[in-house]
Amino acid sequence: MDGKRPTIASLHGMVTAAHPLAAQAGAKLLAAGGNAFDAAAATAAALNAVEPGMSGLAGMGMAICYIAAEQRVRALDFVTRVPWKFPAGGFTRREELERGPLASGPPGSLAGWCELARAHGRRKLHDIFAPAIALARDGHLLTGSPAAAITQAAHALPDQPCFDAWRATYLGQGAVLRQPELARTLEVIATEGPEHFYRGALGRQVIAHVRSLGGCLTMEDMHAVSPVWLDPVAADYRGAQLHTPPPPSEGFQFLLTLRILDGFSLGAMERDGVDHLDTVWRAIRLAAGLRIARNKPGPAALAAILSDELATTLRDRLRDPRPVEGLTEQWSPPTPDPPPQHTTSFSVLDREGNAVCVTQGLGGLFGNGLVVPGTGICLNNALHWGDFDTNGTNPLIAGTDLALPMAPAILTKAGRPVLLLGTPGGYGIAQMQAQTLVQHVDFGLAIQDAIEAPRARLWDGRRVQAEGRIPAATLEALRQRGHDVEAIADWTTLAGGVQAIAIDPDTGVATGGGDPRGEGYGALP
Amino acid sequence: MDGKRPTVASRHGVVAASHPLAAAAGARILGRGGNAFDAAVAAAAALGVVEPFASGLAGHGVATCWVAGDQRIRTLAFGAVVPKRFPVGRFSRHEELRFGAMAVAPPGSLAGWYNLVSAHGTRTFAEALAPAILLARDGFPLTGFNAAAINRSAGVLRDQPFFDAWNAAFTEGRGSVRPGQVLRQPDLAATLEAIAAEGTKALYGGRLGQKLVAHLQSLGGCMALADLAEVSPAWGRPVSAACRGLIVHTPRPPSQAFQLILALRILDGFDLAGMERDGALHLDIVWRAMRLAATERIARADPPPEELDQLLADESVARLRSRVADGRPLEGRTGPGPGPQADGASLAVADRAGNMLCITQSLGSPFGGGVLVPGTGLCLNNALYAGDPNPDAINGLRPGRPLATPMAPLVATRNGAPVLALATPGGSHIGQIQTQVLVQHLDFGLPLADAIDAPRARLLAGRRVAAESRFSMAALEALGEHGHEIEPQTAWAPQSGGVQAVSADPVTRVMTGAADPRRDGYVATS
Repeated sequence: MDGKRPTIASLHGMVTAAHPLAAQAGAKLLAAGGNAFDAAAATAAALNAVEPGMSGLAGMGMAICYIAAEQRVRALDFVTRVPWKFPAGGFTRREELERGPLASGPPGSLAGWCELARAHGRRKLHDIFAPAIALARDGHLLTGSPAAAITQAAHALPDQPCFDAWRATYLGQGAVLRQPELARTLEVIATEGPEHFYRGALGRQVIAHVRSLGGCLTMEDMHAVSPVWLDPVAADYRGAQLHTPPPPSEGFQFLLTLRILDGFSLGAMERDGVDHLDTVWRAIRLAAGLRIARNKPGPAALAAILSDELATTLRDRLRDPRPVEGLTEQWSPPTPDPPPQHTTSFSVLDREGNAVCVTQGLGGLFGNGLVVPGTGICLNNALHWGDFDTNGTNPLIAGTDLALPMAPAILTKAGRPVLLLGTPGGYGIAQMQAQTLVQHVDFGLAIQDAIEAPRARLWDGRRVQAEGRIPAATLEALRQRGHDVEAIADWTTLAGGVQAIAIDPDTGVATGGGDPRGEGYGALP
Repeated sequence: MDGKRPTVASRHGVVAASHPLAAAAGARILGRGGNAFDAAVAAAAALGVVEPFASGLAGHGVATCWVAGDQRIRTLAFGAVVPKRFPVGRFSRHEELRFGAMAVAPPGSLAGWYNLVSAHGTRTFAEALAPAILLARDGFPLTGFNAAAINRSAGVLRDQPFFDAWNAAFTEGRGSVRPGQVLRQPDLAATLEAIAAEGTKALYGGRLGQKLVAHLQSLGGCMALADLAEVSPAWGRPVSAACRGLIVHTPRPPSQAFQLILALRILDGFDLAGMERDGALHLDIVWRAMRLAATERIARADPPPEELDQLLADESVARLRSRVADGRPLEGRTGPGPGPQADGASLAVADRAGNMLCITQSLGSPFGGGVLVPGTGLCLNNALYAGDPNPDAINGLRPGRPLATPMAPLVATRNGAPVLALATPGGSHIGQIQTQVLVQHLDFGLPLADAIDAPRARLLAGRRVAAESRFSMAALEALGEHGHEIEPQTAWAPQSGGVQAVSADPVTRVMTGAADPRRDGYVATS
């Protein structure tokens, strides 16, 4: 209505994802009697086919879930670890781990998808992967963000023979992208299970290729891949509880941001006016600084970070009119321009009330750029996110977890889910999720409108890039408050790709939102 | 990307429909191995549940289909026929047939849907009805558009004697609804389940039909069981015209789609692509062509084939092109008399087997004449409101006569392969709406979704033009000077239709859907 996309609402569940075909893959499982866990695994695999640069089976991710039968929120960690044989001291510059065989951590995503299905799903992998297999085999139309991503990656990949397989897989096919090797890979996995990858012939093929190029991944790393169910970390906001995965997720930055904001009556301010944005941006920057200083916190440190005392301190600092400045990034980007966008997020709800929100990625656009010939599998560059300095806050120490900014989230009220939301965006993730949450919870925007509301990406120091739909006068006022803000495009994936579902716990009505900065879309069963 | 809705395309099948839940219903059937006919009926039946004001099994419609197995276009008319015992001469004013039992024509949609599945579908009719049954039984959340339509109708129907039954069914007796509120229709669910179990004869000869007739007769209506027994959708060949390298196919009379065909034929004589898109020259020519085509249509409700051929022949078209080009002011009626326009719903489907079809369906006015058959959830049409009480007038109400309908679902082919299916409701403005979208898509090359989004105008009586405010001020001013009386509308006027469309690329076999953001249109894929 009125030129906008219609309200997507249903009593029977739904999927919102960064691509219509991936959302539909999950909706298909829901329609066929699968639950949210089956649908989540289906959408996750479909995204490998239709957004191949953003995530895939050899990537990593996290899920936050509401398990209706257990009436509780749980997180599934399927992130990566530093390989056992990672050559410590072998690097000096982060860029060295952006591409190439040594950048890969063990692939967590396939195991994560299969674990979602195994632990709480109802359908066999054959049904779950069928939509992804069909998309890979029969192809799909390359348009919009995924098409732009392939073009971008093609320019960014160095001219080395080991990238020939990437080019052969993704380029030169015209308007329709077919990935027959990926289809075959998924077909065999559907029949033989993930063991075919982690312990069997496919895994050996991947490791052999990586080793032949000088990489350090081993079958021991593959055997050790093991998604972990964890209790989430939670924080109160406006009388509801916000849950994200615990460390190594850096989602606690998102929680801390909202803990700070819980002390301010945002809803009483003019929406998208200078007070609202100044308050939210300050809170974001304060929380980012804490995250950088205290990354990978243990339980006691985490409790301190989310404590009332710290919230009070940070709120006082926010109220202090002196501008807030500080780091938002783990490293300063090597160039003024931000790196290409990567990673993806999706949300699923079924008619029984199970909810799954996943953020998954390859660590960078097409990960390390290596496709294992004959498999259709693109490897991740997760190690790009670690510190060479073993005393750093996210050190590349063999066998250990890497902290990652993924922060899929569930908001509950009286124990029942009312919102699922996630986004990609690196260190922008916590920033975007906070901004969207405030639009929905504090200003009461319907979830699609909350997603569409203009957002800003804060960078180190005082730097802010704000979507150009924020009025110039407001931006000028924000400059007066100390933000070094520049207006960028009206709609940009720099501001994330939020895919969300809002739930009315009384009526069971679910309403979905897809981010039009990319190809975000909702599909109904 | 960039703030817009994504391109929704698939190699496996696509459904565009007036409501997301209906598009999903169609996609679900495609996903289970059904073809475009199965999916279209699933979506059509679901539309009757989720947009109960716009269409339903007790309404009417038309379908245009590319039947892959036969490699040809076929149309299916399931339109309104005047009941045999309609009292000719009793009514003198059109408004007397706005509400109530006398306005009801024998339901066509249920038979039409059944025909589509039985003739060309691969699944059972019961399977096609399953999504609608679920939506009726479990309920669904009302969208803003749904709620506004129900609330508007509450105001319109409030003084009618049967308001209470309508109010109970659609507002839980409260007189109004809110977006997000769940609408359950358990009676309708039971009706659909009975039909799924017993077949369409439940309505056309059986218990359900008897209830319907008895209720209408108790209200003083004239429909009899014999009318129901004779409901018989008609398969037919299309009327077609070449347009920019395609052939556009639409239903023959009693559909008045020939207005669209005539407008396209007229416009074929002008190099629109060479003009500034949405500039005064482009719009003036299109609006003039549309008004002329509407005038010709109004003069002929249901022209016999020879007359139609003559109207669309080169000589006639040349004359009309001259009239467009002469620049002298044009005026005339474009629709039926005063009163609310017919409402309706539409959908379009393409499948991987190469089938493609689209449907426009309606109850007439929103919620038809407001009459519900007790205990069945069935809202009846007021199709006869579109006819003329004077039996000798064009589209006059004569017993047994099929009524002319403005519905004009179209399928376009290129080199013998289907490339586009497009349909919209909108009463007598349907031809205009579809003409404008086709010009944007075929003359100016806009992608289908952009062609649907592009601002549209509705020509009203005389010289009046209701133009969406997104046209440029400069163009509208110049058009005013050309003699058009511009009446500004909102930016996205729902009266300018709800165009749902699918396109297919015969080479890549990619199917794309596009839906109208003026209402609740949405695209789903299989």
